[in-house]
Amino acid sequence: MVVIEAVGGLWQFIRAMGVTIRHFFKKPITVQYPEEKVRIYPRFRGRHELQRDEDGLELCVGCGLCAAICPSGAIYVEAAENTEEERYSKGERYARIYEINMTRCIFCGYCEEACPTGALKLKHEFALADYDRTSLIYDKARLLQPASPHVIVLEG
Amino acid sequence: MEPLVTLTIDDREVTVPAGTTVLNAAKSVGIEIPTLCYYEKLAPFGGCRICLVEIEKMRGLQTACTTVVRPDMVVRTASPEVLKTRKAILEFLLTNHPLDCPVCDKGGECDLQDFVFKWGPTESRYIEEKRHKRKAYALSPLIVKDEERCVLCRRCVRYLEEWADDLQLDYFERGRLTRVDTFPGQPFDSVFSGNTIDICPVGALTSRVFRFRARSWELEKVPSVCAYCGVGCNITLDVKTNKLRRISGRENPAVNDGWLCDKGRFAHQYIDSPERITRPLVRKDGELRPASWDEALNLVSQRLREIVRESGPRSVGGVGSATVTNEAAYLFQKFVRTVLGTNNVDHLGRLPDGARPLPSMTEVREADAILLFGADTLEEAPVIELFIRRAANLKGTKVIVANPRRINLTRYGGPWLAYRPGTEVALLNGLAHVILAEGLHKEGRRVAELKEWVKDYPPDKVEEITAVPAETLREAARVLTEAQKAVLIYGPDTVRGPNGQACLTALNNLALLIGAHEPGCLAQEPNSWGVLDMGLAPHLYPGRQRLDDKVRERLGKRWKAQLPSEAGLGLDEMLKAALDGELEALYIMAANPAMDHPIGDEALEKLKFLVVQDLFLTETAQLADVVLPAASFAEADGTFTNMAGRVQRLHQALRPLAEVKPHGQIIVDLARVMGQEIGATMPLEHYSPQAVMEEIARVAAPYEGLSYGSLGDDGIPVTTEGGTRRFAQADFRPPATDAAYPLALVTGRLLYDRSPLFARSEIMRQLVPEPFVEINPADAETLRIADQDAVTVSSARDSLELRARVSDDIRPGCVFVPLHLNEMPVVALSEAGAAVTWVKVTKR
Repeated sequence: MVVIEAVGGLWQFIRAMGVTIRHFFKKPITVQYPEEKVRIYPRFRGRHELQRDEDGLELCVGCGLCAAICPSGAIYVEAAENTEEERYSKGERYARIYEINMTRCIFCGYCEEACPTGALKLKHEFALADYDRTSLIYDKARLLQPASPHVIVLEG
Repeated sequence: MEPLVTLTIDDREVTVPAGTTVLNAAKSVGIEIPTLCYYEKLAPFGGCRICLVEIEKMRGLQTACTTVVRPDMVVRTASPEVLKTRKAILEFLLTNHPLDCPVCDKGGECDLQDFVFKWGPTESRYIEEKRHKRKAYALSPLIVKDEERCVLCRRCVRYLEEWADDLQLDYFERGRLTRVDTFPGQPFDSVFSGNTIDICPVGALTSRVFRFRARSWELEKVPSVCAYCGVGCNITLDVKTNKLRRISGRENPAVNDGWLCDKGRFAHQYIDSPERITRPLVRKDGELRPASWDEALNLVSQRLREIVRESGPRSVGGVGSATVTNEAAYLFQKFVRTVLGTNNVDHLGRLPDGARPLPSMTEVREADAILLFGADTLEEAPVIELFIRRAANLKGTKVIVANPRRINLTRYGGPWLAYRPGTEVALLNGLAHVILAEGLHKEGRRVAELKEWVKDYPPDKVEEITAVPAETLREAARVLTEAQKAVLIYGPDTVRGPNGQACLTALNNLALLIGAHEPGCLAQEPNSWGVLDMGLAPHLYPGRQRLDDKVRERLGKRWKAQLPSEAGLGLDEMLKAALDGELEALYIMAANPAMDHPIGDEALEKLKFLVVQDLFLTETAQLADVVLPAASFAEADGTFTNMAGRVQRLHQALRPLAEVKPHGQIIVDLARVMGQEIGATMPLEHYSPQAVMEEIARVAAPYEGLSYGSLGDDGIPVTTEGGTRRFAQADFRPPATDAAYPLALVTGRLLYDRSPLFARSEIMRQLVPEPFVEINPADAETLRIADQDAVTVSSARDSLELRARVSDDIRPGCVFVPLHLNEMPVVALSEAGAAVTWVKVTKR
């Protein structure tokens, strides 16, 4: 009995090693990040970016729908009125304060979906780690800054 | 009992009184019919067509808001035909609607939005360019108009017609160009303009103050009570991130019925003013410097103890204010009586003994004649004015105005009795004389005596004394006696001063004679009645008990203290004593006697030690040795008792800044530093207004059984006992005159003034007028004064530099100077205790 079991076990071992050996000769999928770029799909939901229109004005009108839909309460918006001298967006209203707390965000993308002006987009930046929690609260200036993520976007 | 009608709505049998509309019949059984133009407090209009319903045997669909129920009617509110039409109407409305909901302040609380969500089309078939109209322009300094959003329901116009009776908006143009606007060149400056924002079913009218400050769903709604005047309007404080974003009216039929004046609605930005005192201040080297609470309270404790020890408890006193809650007022007087050991406690603007609250708002609203004696509801109690205007406008309620100044309510043609200041008693006796002479009186007992007392006041003689034409007097008497439900309202100033009690007696006589409710005093402060009930007066204990031995013993036992038996000094006497050096220290809570009392500033300067707790560095606080930062009405719990004697609850909506404390808390803390507990502390030494109210309910009889639980959000009226009503003699004493100062000074409050809170409310303060003196054209001509001239108004005591406003709104022989408009106290012109202040006006 013992002998039969030992032979069976050995056979299993050889079979498993076969898988390993087969993969040993295949091209690796591991990416040597950060030396190498990460490959992601176009719809990957990374860090938010606030968009501008063709005139360079903010698309965000501070309506707060993103904050309303956010399931983790990560977004805070305070609106104010544009004046002739100080114009941030096209219409009457703009976001005076726009903050996203990245420690809370779950990257579900509801905010992007709720946005009536297409101002908020979850783009491809994902390397958000930091040493300080407060610097993970992104304010409007940082969110307006387009990121240059270290990625290769795969074809749809 | 009205006959009942039974009909069927959506297969349900409904029985309602005859005359009910289909809409209300449906509402009574919980069936929802959308409405845009219909508003329950306005007459039906039938303009928007969104309430169309199907009624059997009637051709086409009918508007539910204007169709009156009939027996055996069969109504369908949700048949395919109705739903299809409703959807089509909504689609049509949307073809002309900008759909800018994301930037619209109404978004989230918009009727149109809700209806479209529920019944409207999900997609637009309209692909053409939409019509364009004016967007986001200032209809007034307070109201922003978006013409594209307007659905032409006419609610705002109808409200101004039916309620405010300020016809300042109307339709212009026709068809698709129709718009609501002001009349060319005319302002929209009604003090009730803000209500149009609340009733606008879309975002066409929005608030300048609230503009973009929050979205409606982000707001936490805290029920509270307005802290500006004595009406005690029920309000909702809308809060986001510990900031007060908006105030809106709260439904309470017994008080304001949801309406507000613009002051109460918009003037709240002082709460966030950078001028707020945020830390205790202590005077060092002649200057007020920030200090810690420990340091400040220890200093107050030590100095007050020293002065009490050296000069006795009579040398200290406390001055409160009718702007603080019952709880704070109660603790304040308890502190002064038990810890300082003196009855020297009072407040500014104390109502005279014998003054009574208004019967109730409902009775005022239902009155068919109102006598306003020396009161101006527009400036002092705007929502009462709104109710009176509606009654006068729609029901023909007569408004008799007795006032040297033409107030707004004189426009209803009820006689205007423009009496000479100081002749009030003669005027009232004259009225009684006419009523008795013409046999118009309703009360018959003991009139013989009254007849005897007023026999010297026939109309002709009264005309000589008061300058009110005899015929006007007769007319007023007739109007008053023809009324079934007359209400008499007087301003507190008419029953103050040397003639005050006589005036009150004469008013009581008149009310008794015509069978009216006891005359009511138009209390000006939010808690004028409450602070009296709390015993914030030298001669009253809580519950308005007199200072007799029995009460003192009982209260002393309860408060575990030896209560002073000596009578206390009132505010006038305290300040006089301060001038004489007999009073050495004052503790002032939320009052500004430096501006509001004739001898305030000189007296306060003489003090050895002055403590002030307040929100701002007022003229009084600037004289203080210690200033303690206090919380606003939105930052503390408590109760106010309004001008009709209704106790209402304020809820804390905001956490104050770390070093700012509620008035009551400061008193409790100070008492503890001084080594005494004055009760109402919780285990963690937190001041608990709720516990204070429980104590008040045990000590003050009218408040017996009251608790925060029983008050609810709508409040409870408390009744303070009035004496038996009987006729009494009211003697008229002609006021002394002064040849050098020929004009009588009339003062009064303006709604928009430079009082500490209002003047620090960002947007509203631009509406405060420049200081002025109103002078009759006849007097102006003799004095060769033209409109807008710079003039000096001087009395024997002091003088003021003002701008003349020549107008026949003020009767000849008088000048009107509004209070709280200039940096100089107007009251400084007056001799404390004089019946009339005589002045002269000279051109500068």
